[in-house]
Amino acid sequence: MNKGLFLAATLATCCMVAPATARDANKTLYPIVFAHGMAGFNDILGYDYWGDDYGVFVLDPCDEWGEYYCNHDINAGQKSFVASVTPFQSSEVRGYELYQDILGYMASSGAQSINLVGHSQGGLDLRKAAKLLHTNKGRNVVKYGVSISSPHRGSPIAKHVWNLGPGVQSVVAALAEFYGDIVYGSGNDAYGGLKQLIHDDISSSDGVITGTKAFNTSYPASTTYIARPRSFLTAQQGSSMNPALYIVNEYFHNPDADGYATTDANGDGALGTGNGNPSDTDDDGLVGLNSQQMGYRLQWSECYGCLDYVYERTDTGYVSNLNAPPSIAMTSKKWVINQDHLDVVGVPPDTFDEMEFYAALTDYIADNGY
Amino acid sequence: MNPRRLRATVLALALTIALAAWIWTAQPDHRVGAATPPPSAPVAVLPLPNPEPEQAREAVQAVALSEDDHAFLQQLRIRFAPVMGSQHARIRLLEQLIAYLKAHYPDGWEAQLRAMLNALFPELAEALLAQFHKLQSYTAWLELQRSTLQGLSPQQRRQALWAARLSAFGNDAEEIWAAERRSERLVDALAAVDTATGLTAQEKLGAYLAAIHDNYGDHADRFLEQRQTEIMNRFISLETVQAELQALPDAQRNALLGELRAQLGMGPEALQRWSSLDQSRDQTWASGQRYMQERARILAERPREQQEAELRELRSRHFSEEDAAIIRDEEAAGFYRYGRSRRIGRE
Repeated sequence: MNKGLFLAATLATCCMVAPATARDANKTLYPIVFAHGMAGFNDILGYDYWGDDYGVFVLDPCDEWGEYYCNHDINAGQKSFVASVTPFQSSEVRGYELYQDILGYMASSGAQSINLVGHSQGGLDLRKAAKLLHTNKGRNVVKYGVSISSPHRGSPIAKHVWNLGPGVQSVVAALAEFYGDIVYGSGNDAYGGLKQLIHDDISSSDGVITGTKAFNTSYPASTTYIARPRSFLTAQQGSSMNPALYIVNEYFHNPDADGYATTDANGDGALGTGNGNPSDTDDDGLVGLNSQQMGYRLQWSECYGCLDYVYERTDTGYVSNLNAPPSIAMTSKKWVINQDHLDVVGVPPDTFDEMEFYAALTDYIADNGY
Repeated sequence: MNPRRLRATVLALALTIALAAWIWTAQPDHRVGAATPPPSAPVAVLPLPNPEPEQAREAVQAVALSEDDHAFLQQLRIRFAPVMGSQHARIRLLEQLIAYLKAHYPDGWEAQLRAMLNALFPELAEALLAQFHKLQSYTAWLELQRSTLQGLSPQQRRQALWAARLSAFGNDAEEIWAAERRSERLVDALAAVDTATGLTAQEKLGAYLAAIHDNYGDHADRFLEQRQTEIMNRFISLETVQAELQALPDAQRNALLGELRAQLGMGPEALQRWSSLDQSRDQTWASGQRYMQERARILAERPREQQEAELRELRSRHFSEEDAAIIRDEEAAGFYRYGRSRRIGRE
């Protein structure tokens, strides 16, 4: 075959296997490390969690000729790592395990710094990992630390389950209901995991200090450890929610979680209070709005037919002290993604486009220098 | 009863049943003993609901498309035309269309779908519409069966999901969920090497790598290069591999770890970095073990009022100032990192 014909054949075949895109996400300078939430790690390599609804990993680059099952929106050279920690444990344990996983990844890859993305409890874990990495390396290792739907200041559902509120007869059975039988696996501590997500120390007589309040003091969202702490917030109401979360909200406990207070004023397990209306899209089924902001908020802007956008927003304040955020950071509904707690990861069914969302986040991090 | 009301009624009924089942099956084990899963029982998974009736499809009124609609369709055409032979791509296309229509026509998005598909790929419109109804049917089943599926073992859940997918999509399901199928095969391969008898760790890794090559074909080497650490972590976390590693003295253990990493394709620089990390972890762990022994002695032998001061002094001898503060906080929260079994190769 002559060279011209070969080139033409190659191009034609290439066009048959790879969708064209208007704009690919730029490649980040440092790899993106994913930290999953409670439960979270089910099958191989965490792809079920950090994937679309069909099992394709969200940052799998299409970097080989003929490759189809990959994210066509990201740069072919994009680097990433999927960490795995004990599904049900405190963030003291999980954050330490995440730190160790990152050390291993840095040894394999030679990466000197990373960007860290954590969903749900993974957003707490990443703060501890960032601090341990700083201590180990004597420098800031984590550049962007992005939490998604994270209960930085506690979760009313965690407290409801702990208290065996209406509809809950067993902590473990309730967690199994949300997450499946993985809760029964060895090494898991369902109670430890749950206590972690209640803001104040749940018991003064159990000999340990637990909860997000103490954890936030030990592992702050400090720029010493995370160069740029940022957060996505999620909230949704009604039948668009994942059926499990819909049942919880409609029949058991619908959090009222968009009010400001300097303590857990309504005793629901999260810092702050409500505004008297639990049905005004102030939680994502598991976590309230007033718990989710760390650093600046990020806005996700869906673009139909093109790559989505992520923007940094400063008009809802900056949360540096997680235990004392400004009022607007606990009450504003601006830039909140209208999705439930599980939509933003690969738990079907949903209509959320995980591939585009994470491509847009990758693009945002890359465009901002990391 | 119109189809929409029928679906809503079925969904409400199923949610009520699921709710009742949850309350009925929950066991009062609050704060007692170790968690054990409830005994597994045969669980009936409901069959897939029928796709949208034919007359309902015909009743859909075509609606005029706006300029924005046409611009969006043009983007989709550019993006998907080259891959419309793939069933997975067709589902992705439908998902993007649904998202767009829900955002722009929240009250009549389904009515708009046929017009959009006809304008987008006229020759494929009917096939895509049929695929849409199958997707709707499968999604409705998934929502109705969520609670039941959660109660199944992973193997049972996988079987139920695939039965529903094959029922809805026929053999196209294999193409739509090809990535998931590939991951499942690797999960199975990993489980098989864990229980294989008479094999060394290297032989087990060899068998696992062969499974990866079988599944990924020409893309296997690239997959291994990209996901080296994840594959390593999953492999060395296997119970039988950990047991073999735990039984070895430090030097032999680290040599074996190095061989396994080289087998995975890590180059000399990566192996050197890992070697340094292994040595550092060994030293830290040995120091941590001594700390835990001395800590236990202080708690057992010293008067209560002296313990805190002595523990503080002990931490300062074993750890840097920053690490000592972290260890103190961990212990206050009930976590003793050196008090649990070490995960070789992971910490």
